[in-house]
Amino acid sequence: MDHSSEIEIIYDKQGNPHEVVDFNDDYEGSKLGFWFFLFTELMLFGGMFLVFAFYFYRYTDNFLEASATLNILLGGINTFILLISTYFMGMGLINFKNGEISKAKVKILLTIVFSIIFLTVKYFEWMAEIHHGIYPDSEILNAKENGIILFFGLYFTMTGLHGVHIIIGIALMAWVYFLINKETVTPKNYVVFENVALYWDLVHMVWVFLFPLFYITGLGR
Amino acid sequence: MAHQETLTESLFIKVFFALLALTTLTFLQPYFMHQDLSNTIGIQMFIAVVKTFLIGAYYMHLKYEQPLFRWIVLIALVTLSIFFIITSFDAIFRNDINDFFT
Repeated sequence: MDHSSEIEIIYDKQGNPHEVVDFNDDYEGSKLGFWFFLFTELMLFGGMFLVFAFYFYRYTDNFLEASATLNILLGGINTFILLISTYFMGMGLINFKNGEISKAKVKILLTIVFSIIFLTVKYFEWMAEIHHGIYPDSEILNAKENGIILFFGLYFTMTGLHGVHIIIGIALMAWVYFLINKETVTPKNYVVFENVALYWDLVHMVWVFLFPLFYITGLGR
Repeated sequence: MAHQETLTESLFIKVFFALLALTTLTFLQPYFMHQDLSNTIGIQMFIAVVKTFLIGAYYMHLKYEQPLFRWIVLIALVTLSIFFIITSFDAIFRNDINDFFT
């Protein structure tokens, strides 16, 4: 970014001079851009939920059988962990806007801690599946019925993509923490923090649908 | 920054407890309400939609934003709904149409 104090002039078709003003503080524009990104995220996950719905309809029995084998306790714990992390992220933003910077920083760190716990629980859950020989293209899984293969394919793809979003979220929070320390993000200029909080809410929202569809439906037999 | 913030700390906490209650309901519903499959999915998706509404309106501040942001979300939801409706015809009638022509 050029911080020189020189005034830049631009001329219109009539030859009139205009000062070029670029102070890079377009709050609404920053948020609008981020909402368009969230739009694409909704389409990405929406498309996957569409595939899930299609095969759930066509292989209902297989899907229920496979769903019943998932560890509902670990999935449930992760649901609460993600909810609590969203609370800290949102509350951190409110604190930050009120000028309570140190409180906000603690809450960002707590959000990161809860995100890491989420990933750890997910790791143990996946490892349990993998130890049972259930992973994409495994011999044990390939020997099962088509619907079960599809269910676990979708399970690993969708929870995996969600997990990638969690990892990106942790990186973004660390970045926001760094920007707050650098005083680039301040209680008067907090749009980066706000956008990362929006991203985190979307990640939570995706899990709100993933959890009942993958874990709970197996109980509804 | 001409931005009016109206989400208070106390409201944020209230919404959190509402989400916590709904999450507990999601977790426990199949154990204390022995429903058939379509009812379980119906109840679960209803809870998920209510939670999404709360997250969108309060945690994502859509209630306090200018209408443009709400339009973006609405257009995304309408677009997705169109995909779901068209695909549902495929899922439901695929074999029937084959039977019809043979």
